Formats: sequence, structure tokens, C-alpha cells
Amino acid sequence: VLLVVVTLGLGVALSVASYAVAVRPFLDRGRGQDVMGWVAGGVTTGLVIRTAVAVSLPAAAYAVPDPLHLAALTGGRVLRLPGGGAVAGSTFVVLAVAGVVAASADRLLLRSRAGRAVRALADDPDAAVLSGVAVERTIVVAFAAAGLLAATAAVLVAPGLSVSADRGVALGLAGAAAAVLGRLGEPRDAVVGGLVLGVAQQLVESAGGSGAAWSELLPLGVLVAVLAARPRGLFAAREPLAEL
Amino acid sequence: VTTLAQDLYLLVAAYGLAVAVTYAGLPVLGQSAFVAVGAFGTTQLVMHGTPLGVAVVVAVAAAALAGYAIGFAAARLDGGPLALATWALAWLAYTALVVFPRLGGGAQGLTRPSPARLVSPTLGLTAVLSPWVHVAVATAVAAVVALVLWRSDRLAWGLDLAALRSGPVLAESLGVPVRRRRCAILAVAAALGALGGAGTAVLLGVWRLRTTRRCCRCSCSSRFWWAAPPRGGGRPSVSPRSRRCPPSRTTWRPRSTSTRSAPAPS
Repeated sequence: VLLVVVTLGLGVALSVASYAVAVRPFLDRGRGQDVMGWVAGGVTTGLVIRTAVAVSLPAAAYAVPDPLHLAALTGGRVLRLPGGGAVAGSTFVVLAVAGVVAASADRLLLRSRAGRAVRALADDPDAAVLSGVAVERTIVVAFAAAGLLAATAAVLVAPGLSVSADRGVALGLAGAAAAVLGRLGEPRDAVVGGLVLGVAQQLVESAGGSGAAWSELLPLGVLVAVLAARPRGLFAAREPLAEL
Repeated sequence: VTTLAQDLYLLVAAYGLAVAVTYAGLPVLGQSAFVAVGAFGTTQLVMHGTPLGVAVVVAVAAAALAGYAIGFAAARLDGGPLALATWALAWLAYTALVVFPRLGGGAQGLTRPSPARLVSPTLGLTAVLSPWVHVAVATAVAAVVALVLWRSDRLAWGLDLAALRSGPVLAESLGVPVRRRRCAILAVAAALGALGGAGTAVLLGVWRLRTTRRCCRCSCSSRFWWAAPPRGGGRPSVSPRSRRCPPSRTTWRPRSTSTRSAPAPS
């Protein structure tokens, strides 16, 4: 339990620190946002963290212990599917936790004061400021929540994987692909998108031949294709054409 | 000398990034993919019997074509979504090279004899590409690109870039063909990245995946990122007060478009 708490706390701390160091300096609200600055700052922070992890954990891959003992919770049961497929019992626990987290995040975003502030700031920063939203505090809360959710995902998914420094980027981009499969900013859609993407990956992998290689490319291909075609998500309402 | 030549090729690739990021205000994070296309494309083509010069030209042209296609596909993206899409594209290229070892050569990478020789049976010439030759070539390319970028504010397409930096809506209202310009910018950025990659691969005689990643990191943290962009880009935006392109020295003639409704700048 202590390990889980420390991991979640580290996720929150790193996320808030990256905001303070690499993003905040570029959000000069007197002159507007400097998109290039915070993008570069965010990417560079990610590279620094990734390099620090790679230096301190130099092996090609690591097996991570299961701090939540998910396999023990389900008694190590495996669900056999028609056609020879199998799903570990712990997968259903991960799905249940993801569902609860998504429903809670959705409820918080829609009903709580902080959630409404985050949505207002995302939709129209200037209007949010005029409405009395505490900008600084809201952004810090959003970054803390992002770090907490990322760390939660890592705790749930890492025990089933061979973990390396690059794995985080791949998982993060797969998460982004799952998010754009629904509607960006909708946690429930992200869970469904993740489920669809995961099943599709397994189907491609089980096709044999170079299926395993193609399944690695699938989330990245989906992310690029969906962003290019529907930047706000696959099932988001189309934006009206801008009048020039 | 080899390190100097390698750094100069990296500078060429970074200039490609600067064209997109600093001059056009597009947060493109996929430059390493184009570097990889140049490096792995050249080496693969040479390994399959293509003459070295032809291989470099084909690899650079393929990268430029890919850049143009990406510009076309990502025409509706800006800011964060564009950065995310191009970053995913860079990882897509990297992952493809990892999971298909025949493309990237696995952990050992792709190798070819070094120093390379340029042979022209027609002219009866054989030139050994020593590190000094690479230094001269990379310096010449970097100098030409730097000169063109330095003078860009006085050229018509340079003003188009300035308009793009200020925002696609403003550029559109000024008659700048936004989609065409963005495609062209990404094609140029990709070609310069591929040239840097191809040059380095020919220089070293070996190209590994980690070299691509190092190029990505160096490019991302190069000074072009940190050129103190005031808003949306590293160069000054379009403004009547802009010292870089004063109206008295450069006349901006808006093109006639059916959608243009905003008045031309004075």
C-alpha cells in the first residue's frame, strides 16, 4: 500500500513540477499563450524524465511486482474464450478500476466546482478569467489530477508488462489514441476507446505472421489518422466552418 | 573532423526544424522521422545496388514527399494537436524500425563501407568522400539555408511565413494559400532533415536507431526552439511596426481570393 501511495504521490509531484518549471513560464496571460514554448517545455521535461529513468534503470526491460496483488484477488483464474483465446482474471479487475476512475473523473468534471473551472478554462480562458475562475489554482489542480491518473494507470498496467524507459511514452501515446477514439475530454469515451483499441491490438497480434509487429504500430497509426481527420475525437461533433 | 561533419549535418536537420517551428510557427515534433527516412532510405537503397548519389536524392525526395503529404493530411491541425500528431508520427517511424528489423537492421543498425566513394562511369570520375569533403558539403548546405532564411523577410514567401506565424485566419484573409504553404514548409523541413540523416549515414557508414533518437533529442532542444517566440512562433509576427519587414521596404500584395473580406494591411 505504501508503494502505491508513494507512486501516486510521485506522479502528482512530477506533473505539478513539470507545470511549474516547463509550462507556467510560457503562460503569460498578459500577452496570451505561447504555444510553441509550452509544447517545447513539456516535451523537454518528458525527455529529461525519460533519460533520468533510463540512466538509473539501464537494463533493457524490468519485471514489476504487482503491488495490488490483482492476480491473488481473482485467484489466478483465466477465462477461456472460444477459438483458443484467454483473458486473465486480473484484467477484469483493471477494467473495473478503470471504469470507476473514469466515472469519478467524469462526475468531478461535470459536477464539482473545480471540474467546472477546468472545463471553463479549457473552453475559453479569457471568459473563465472574467467569470472569476482562479486560473493558477485550476491549472495546478488539472496537472495534479493528470499526474494522479497517469500514476494510477501505471500501477495497474505495469505488472503485466516488461517495463523499460520507452514504455511510458508508448503507453502515453496509446492512451492519447484511446482518448481520440471517442471524444476528447470525455473520460468514459476514453475507457471505451481503450477497450476497443486493446481488443483490436490482440486481434491483429493473433493473426500470426508479423501481426505482433503491426499491433505495436496500431495505436500510433490510429492516433495520427484520427487527429488528422477529426482533431476533437472520432465521435465529436463536427466544428462549423469558420467564416472568413 | 568526423564529429564536426556530423554536427554540421545535424545543423542542416535543425534548420529544417527551424523552417517549420521558428519561421512558420508550426509546432512540428516529427523531424526525427524525416532524419530516419534519409538515413535508413539511403543505406537501404545502396545495400540494394543503387548508386550512392541516386540513393541520397531518392531518399531526400521521398522524405519531402512524405512531408508534403503530412502537411496535406494535418491541414486542420494547429498548436497542441499538431504537436501531438507529429510526435506520434516520429514514434510511429521509430517503432516501425524497431519491430521490423529488416528495415532498421536491428540493434546493430545498417552498415556500409566507409569512407564512401562516388563513382561516375560517364565522367570517368571516382571521388572518395573523406570527412573533410563531408564538412565542406554540410557547411555549404547549412550556409545556403542560413542565407535564404536570413533574407526570407524580404521575399514574398517569407512574408507568407510571417503571416502564417501570426495565425492561419489572418494569413487566409491576406490571401496566403495556407494549405499549400504549410505543405511546402513541411516538405522543405522534411527534405532538410532527410539530407542531414543521409549525410550522417554516408559519413559514418553505419546508422542505428539510437542515432535517430539522439538526433531527435538534439533537434528538439536546439536553439531554434528557444528563440524567444513572443506568440505562436520564434520570429516576429506580422505587424505594421515590425522592424523586419517594414511596409516601406516590402510591399505585400494580397492575392485575390473568393473568401477574402479583410482589408489589406496598410
